[in-house]
Amino acid sequence: MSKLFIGAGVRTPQITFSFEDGVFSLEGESYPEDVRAFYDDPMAQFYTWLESTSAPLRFEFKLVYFNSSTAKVIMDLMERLEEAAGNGRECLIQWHYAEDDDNIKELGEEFAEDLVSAKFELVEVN
Amino acid sequence: MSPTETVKVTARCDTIIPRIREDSSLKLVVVVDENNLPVGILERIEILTAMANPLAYAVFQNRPVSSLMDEEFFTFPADGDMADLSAVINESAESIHTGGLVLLDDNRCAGVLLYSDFLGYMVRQDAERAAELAEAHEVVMDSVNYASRIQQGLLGNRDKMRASFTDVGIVWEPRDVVGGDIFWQSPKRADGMFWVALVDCTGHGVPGAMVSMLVASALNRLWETHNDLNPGEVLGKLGDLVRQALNQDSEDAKSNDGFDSAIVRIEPASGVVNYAGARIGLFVVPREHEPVLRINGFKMALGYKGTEPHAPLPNTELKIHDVAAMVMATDGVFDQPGGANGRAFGPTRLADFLAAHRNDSASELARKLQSEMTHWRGDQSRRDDLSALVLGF
Repeated sequence: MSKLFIGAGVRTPQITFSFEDGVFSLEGESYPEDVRAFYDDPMAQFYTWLESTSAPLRFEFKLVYFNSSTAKVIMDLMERLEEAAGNGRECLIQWHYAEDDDNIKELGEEFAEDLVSAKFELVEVN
Repeated sequence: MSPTETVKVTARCDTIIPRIREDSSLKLVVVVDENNLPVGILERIEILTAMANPLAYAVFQNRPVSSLMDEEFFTFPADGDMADLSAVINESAESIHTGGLVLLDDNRCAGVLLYSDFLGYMVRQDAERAAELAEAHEVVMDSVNYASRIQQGLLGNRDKMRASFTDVGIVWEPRDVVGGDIFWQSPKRADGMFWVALVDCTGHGVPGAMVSMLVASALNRLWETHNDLNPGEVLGKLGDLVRQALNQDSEDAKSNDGFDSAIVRIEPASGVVNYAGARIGLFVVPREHEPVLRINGFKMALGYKGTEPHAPLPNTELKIHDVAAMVMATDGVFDQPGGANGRAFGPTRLADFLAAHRNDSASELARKLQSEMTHWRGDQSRRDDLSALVLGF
């Protein structure tokens, strides 16, 4: 398990999980008809990695649109990252948003409210 | 397969050219050697063009067919699979322009297959497949359209809603005929108190609609048994009811679905409105020239898998006489990409829109919001169900 790459679909984001580097990203849009069919496997791989290693990690969210079921996936993910950070792991979460997209920015800020141990950065992109 | 005409490679051109001229069905003649093995083809359209000049015919008529034939041609086994044929045709069409293929049986010419025939075959196949698909689609859409009538039956009654306010504007646009968004209004209690709710169930289409039925029936039940609750309490209880109904109150639950919602409780007797929301905020257009007020909902969705009962959500109280209109919208409004750069519509744009149209009636405002959203979306696809309630006081 060194790298997981899933190319972007019309309704699904690009997933790039570099387990070796500890860098993970979700990029694009996410509104699959069956959110579990899309996310269950990659997230299981991530959680397996999270449980079995202790290396620092960076999770990059570069989403421009996601539906509520995806929001639930992200929320679960944030909880796991926060838990890992609480246990002393170095977790950096980067939330990318376009400068004129206050919606995505706000959604990121909402996720950030629950984070204490994990480090959260808003990254403005042009 | 078309009628096949073969001619010996040593035969004189005038044995075949007149036949080709007379018989328009002879699109492709196969030239064979003494062992009856194909060595070339004569194509009607090329022969007719070349022989249109009487001088050319005079020159060629005594020459052997080999002088006129095209030695480059494609073949295909007579007992081959039609599926493999497409690949060969693709290849042949890219390299040379001929009217068809020579079919081979044990290397001997077994016939010709004209591309026009193959095209006809493909078109028929395609039409059959299209008809099958159309029928399947019709069955599904009939079913979904029927389901939509059922779903519309559980939505708030628009006339009753209008009668409860100065005016009410409603945008309800399920992405796929049925959807997870519903608006709902309770009956009125003896003292005039009633609830209005906007709900966005996870998913859209049929799964969203199924959860929405559950939420609507849970709302009806709560109204009947607990109409003394405030909106925050209603939302907490609603979350519990939906979670239990979907058996999501156990660790090994198979599904994990829920909903966003905003509920307002209107008490005309005391002139008070209370709002509570879970991921659906409230935009208040004040009666005076104050800026549009945005009250954020609690950020957690309700009903999802969990074992702890939901805590009541916080309420916000407003005086009816301060309020010109209240607007609630589902994330289908805020998250829809559009505009010049494909950005989400977002809450700021909605607040600006409301401020710009604050003097319009609630129904006029809803109409304008609907066209604003269509305009914003442009040629982007609609991502989600989209609903908004404009309550005019």
